Amino acid sequence: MSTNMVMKKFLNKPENIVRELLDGLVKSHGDLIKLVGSDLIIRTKPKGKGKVWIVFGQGIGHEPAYDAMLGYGMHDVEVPGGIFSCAGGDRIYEGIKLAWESSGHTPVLQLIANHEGDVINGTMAYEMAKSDGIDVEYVILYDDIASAPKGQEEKRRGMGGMTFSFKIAGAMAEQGKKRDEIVKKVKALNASTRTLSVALRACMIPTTGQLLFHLDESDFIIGPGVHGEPGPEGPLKMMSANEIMDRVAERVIEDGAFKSGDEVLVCINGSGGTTLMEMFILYDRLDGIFKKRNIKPHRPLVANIITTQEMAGFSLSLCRADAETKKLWDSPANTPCFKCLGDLV
Amino acid sequence: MSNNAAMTKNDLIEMIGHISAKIVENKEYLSKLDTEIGDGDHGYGMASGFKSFAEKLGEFGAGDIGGLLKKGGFEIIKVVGGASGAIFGTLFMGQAMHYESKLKGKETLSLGDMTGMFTEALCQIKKRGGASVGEKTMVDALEPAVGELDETVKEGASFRDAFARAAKKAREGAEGTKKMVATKGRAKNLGQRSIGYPDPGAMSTAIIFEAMAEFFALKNL
Repeated sequence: MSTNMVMKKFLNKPENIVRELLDGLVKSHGDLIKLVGSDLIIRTKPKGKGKVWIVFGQGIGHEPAYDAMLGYGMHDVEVPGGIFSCAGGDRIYEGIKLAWESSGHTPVLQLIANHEGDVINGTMAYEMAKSDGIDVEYVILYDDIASAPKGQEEKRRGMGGMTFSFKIAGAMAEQGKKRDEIVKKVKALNASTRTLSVALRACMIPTTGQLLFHLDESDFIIGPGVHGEPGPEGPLKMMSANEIMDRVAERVIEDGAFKSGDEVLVCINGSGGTTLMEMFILYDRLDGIFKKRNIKPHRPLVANIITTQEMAGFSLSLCRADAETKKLWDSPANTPCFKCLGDLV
Repeated sequence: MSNNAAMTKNDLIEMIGHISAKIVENKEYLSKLDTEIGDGDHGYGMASGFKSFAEKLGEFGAGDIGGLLKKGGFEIIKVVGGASGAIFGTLFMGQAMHYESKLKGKETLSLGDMTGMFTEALCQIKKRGGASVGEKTMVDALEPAVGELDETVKEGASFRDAFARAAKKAREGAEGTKKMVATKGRAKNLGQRSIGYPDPGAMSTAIIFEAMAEFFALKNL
């Protein structure tokens, strides 16, 4: 792919991307979400007083994660930033304050994806809220095994596996569980979550029209981030779906020490430019690997969740699931782009 | 030896306007640097933040120096977003913190006052970002520049000489990041492959100090 490629996207002015995305998202899902002020997204029918509100601040450009996954059974306040760039700490603070006031001063849970900008701004918001007397706690989510070695899990980036934590935290909060109980559960869940990603082709940064990284058409990379940063390992020559899934699954299973008899939550997350056809082909191989190793998947999620524009690629996420986790995973969620029908099916 | 030169709030406003113009001028260059080891948005983000700060200087400058710097810092955090927004916003908020606690009510700033403000900004940035010298971040440009300001205060230098020397240190520090391995930010995911490229935030810091040096030279302060 050449850097001279012309960007062909449905855009107007680059500086209006955030505004138009938020307006379009909210206008098309007015029954579920709405804007407060010009840039905080909340549920149209808020959770109400006495239940834990969950706040998340992030960059946009990864739709549906997580600005289009806010709603019943998930989180309550979304603070969108710029393209791939976390919202400023003062705005995340506004989101926390809104949650605190709207929930009738119920302890607030803030989720932070482990990326430099998100942590710096998230902790700044947390400190501002604390000094205002708001009872807020945060959990930093990390899962990408390519970004730091085993033993340094806390340095890993937050990627597709964060979806497990969002869903479980959201379900518990909906049931009226106490904040501290949710924090404990989410920390344990996140600690067992492992993700590894693959990219076949870079995306263009919508604001600049530049490619996010350079990769020969004949190559692919293991371990790029959700911002398409070039991976630490450098490119490999393209292989078949089965060969790629074998490599990815092997590393994820080994790093997370998933063993025979384990029940797991599974997410095959598309990066935006990979078809569902390809993702199901990948899942088919994964299912074979699970059977061989006697690992039991529970209601796998195969979807575009954390995308990086039109980047071609996927990530595989696994986490251990006990009976409680499975039940929470199955409980209902209703958001613009992520729905769970619970036991209706 | 001491130097009695002082800068007023209006000088500060003019200086921030000059910094903003320089950042905007370099937006393509800074973004290109960021494309090598980050996600290519550093220059665009910085330019929009500093432009917004410059446009609101009249409004922010209605109160005292502390208020001006604090509001400007928040503007950068809000408009730039991401790690860059928080760090470069803290560059101004840290100065405001020092002003509020040590210089409250003062209408002019000496070189010593400015140095104190930048020292606090450096301290706050290191705390916020958890970075120290040698990690391929803007701290590699800021810390030597602030250290040099400290030296010039002891020598009783003029603003002009002090900032010319500090800018030189900032530039050297920024250039020095080329040979470092990134351990912070998105560039850390490149590991050894980040060697050979400068840190865009360190380059921005050099540009900011050079803009200040230019301003003091023009003002002959």
